[in-house]
Amino acid sequence: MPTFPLLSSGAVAQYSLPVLTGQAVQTIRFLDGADQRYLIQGRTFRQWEIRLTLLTDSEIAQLQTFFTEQQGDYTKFDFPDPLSGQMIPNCRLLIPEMTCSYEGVGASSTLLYVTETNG
Amino acid sequence: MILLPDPGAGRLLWQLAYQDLSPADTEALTNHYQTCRGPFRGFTFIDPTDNMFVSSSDLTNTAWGKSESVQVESGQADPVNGTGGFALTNTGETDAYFTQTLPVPASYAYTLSLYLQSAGASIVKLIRGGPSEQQITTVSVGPQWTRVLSSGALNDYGTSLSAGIILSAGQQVSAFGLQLEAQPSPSQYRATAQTGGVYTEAHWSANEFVVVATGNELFSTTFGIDTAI
Repeated sequence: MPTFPLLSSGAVAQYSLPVLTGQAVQTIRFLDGADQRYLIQGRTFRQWEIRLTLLTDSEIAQLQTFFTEQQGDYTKFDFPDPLSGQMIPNCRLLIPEMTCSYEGVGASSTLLYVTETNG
Repeated sequence: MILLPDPGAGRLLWQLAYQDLSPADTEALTNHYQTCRGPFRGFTFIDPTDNMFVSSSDLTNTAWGKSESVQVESGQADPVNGTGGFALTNTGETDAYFTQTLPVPASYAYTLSLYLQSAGASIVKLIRGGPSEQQITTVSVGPQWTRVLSSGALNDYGTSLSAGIILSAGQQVSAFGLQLEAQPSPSQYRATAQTGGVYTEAHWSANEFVVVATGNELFSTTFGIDTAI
């Protein structure tokens, strides 16, 4: 399985790095204040918002190549979690588009969302 | 935010924002979210802005536990020039307890505070105790109202905590403003009536829990907790 590319520094992400833990639960609330809850997702999943700036030309090219090879959000890959250092399997890009901003020589930026899946 | 859509169906929502959290704090919050399966399972939440005691303004309420020899008389003068004070008298010949027991972890750091007055110089014991350990603090009181406190954490991993005072044989004191808080020092007294600041069926309010790594080993997060009231 392919792996999410690292920057030239060896880092996966830059500060600030939002990480979302999601657990979908449906809650039905009754008029007397009681409620009924049930899970609509089998387990919790994480999402990472990878916001990268001041990328070199080779770094942004590497990310573009990765995006193309993954066919956007179609293919799974391993993602090295920047917080725990663990390799998280069965991840996908969350949205099927990638916007790159070329703001100067060696100063590009992009934003990618990575989400954990069941596989 | 307090929402009151229907009688009996009110909800209380806390919006909590944290900055510069350590990795351990962040991991504890994340683990708690995962253990609860997000909003699925309820948990006990201690309102950080409230007095944990139920009925702190009415010491005759049955929420308060007392030894048989303790008599409680309302309508006494209080330290804020009112008549919200209570005379507590131990008519027995042994120590007597006036406490309230709450369903909270005994091992947290708590502060018990209250105003006390007695006709002459007197010694009163304040007690904080879990199922297996107690801490007793001795305080001096006199004719002037004095805010006394007992603070600390117990080495007790039980799931209940009792806090209050111990009266010696024949002792009488006036009491006002009993307050228990899950923090190491007291804040301004807040009177409570039928509910205190402990909610045993609180839930995470959102299907998502977001942590932002803002720097090296620094994290921030904002989330909501809600409960029926």
